[in-house]
Amino acid sequence: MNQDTALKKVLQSREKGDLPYDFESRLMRTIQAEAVKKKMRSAVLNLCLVSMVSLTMIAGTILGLKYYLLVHFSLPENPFKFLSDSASLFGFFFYIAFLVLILLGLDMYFRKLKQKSEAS
Amino acid sequence: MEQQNEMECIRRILEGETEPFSYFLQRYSRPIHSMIVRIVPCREDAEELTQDTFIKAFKKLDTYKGDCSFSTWLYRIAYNTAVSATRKRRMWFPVLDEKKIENVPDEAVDAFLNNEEDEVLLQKLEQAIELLNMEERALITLYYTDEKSIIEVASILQLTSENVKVKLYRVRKKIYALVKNEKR
Repeated sequence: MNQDTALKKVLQSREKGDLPYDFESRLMRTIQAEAVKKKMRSAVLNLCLVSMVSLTMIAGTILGLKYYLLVHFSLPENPFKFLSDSASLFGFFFYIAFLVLILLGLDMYFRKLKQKSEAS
Repeated sequence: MEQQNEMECIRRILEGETEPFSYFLQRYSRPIHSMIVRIVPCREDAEELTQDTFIKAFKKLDTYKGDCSFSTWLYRIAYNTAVSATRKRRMWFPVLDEKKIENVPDEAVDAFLNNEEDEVLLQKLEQAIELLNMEERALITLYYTDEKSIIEVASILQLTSENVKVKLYRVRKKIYALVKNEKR
């Protein structure tokens, strides 16, 4: 079937048409404009999403607090009681937290250094 | 190698770069335009439809899953774009009696479509091609001119391979019937 030489000859001789010389550059400009639009759309969508989630969280917090305050409107007299044996652990906890912060800071510093060296 | 290059370009475009898209434009704009020119009755619209094809491809690039070659995916978009444009214009194509097409002997079609010496017949063949509908033109253009395989043609036209074979067989007979019909 794919012999059909006469049919092939006629199809190949039919007008092919040609694109203008600046077709690709014009289309690239359109594509770049489309990319900017796409980024804008995505930024707006992200902003809407973040706003919605934030609003939902705020509304949830307000409703939660309102419910909590209605149900437990009286706070205990002294909610923070420090026992002498637990107070001795605070020093250790602060030491661990401080260590974690130092390590996280170092991690961030080295990551930035690596990114800079990769970029250059 | 080419497929790797194309996948790399796609990855970079999806990450926000636009420059790699010029690779696809350089590589496919002319073949896609040639196909559209051959299947759309209005030649003036072909450039616009080619442009629409590439803009659609850029917008929908994230839907390309790599289950077929990028060129097949692009040709499919081009074909669907051309079909939608033609539908809007409500083009008219002559309808032949199915019995007339069925009664055409295979041997006569084979002899006729391989007779490339007779200039008068070639002219008539060209006129008959003009009377084919969009799908039929796309079918013979992809198969005979762009030399796509049956599987690729099926993927572009969203048909099964068996369906493509049957349609090709029928189009050959239809072309013969159109030429003979015009003779009378």
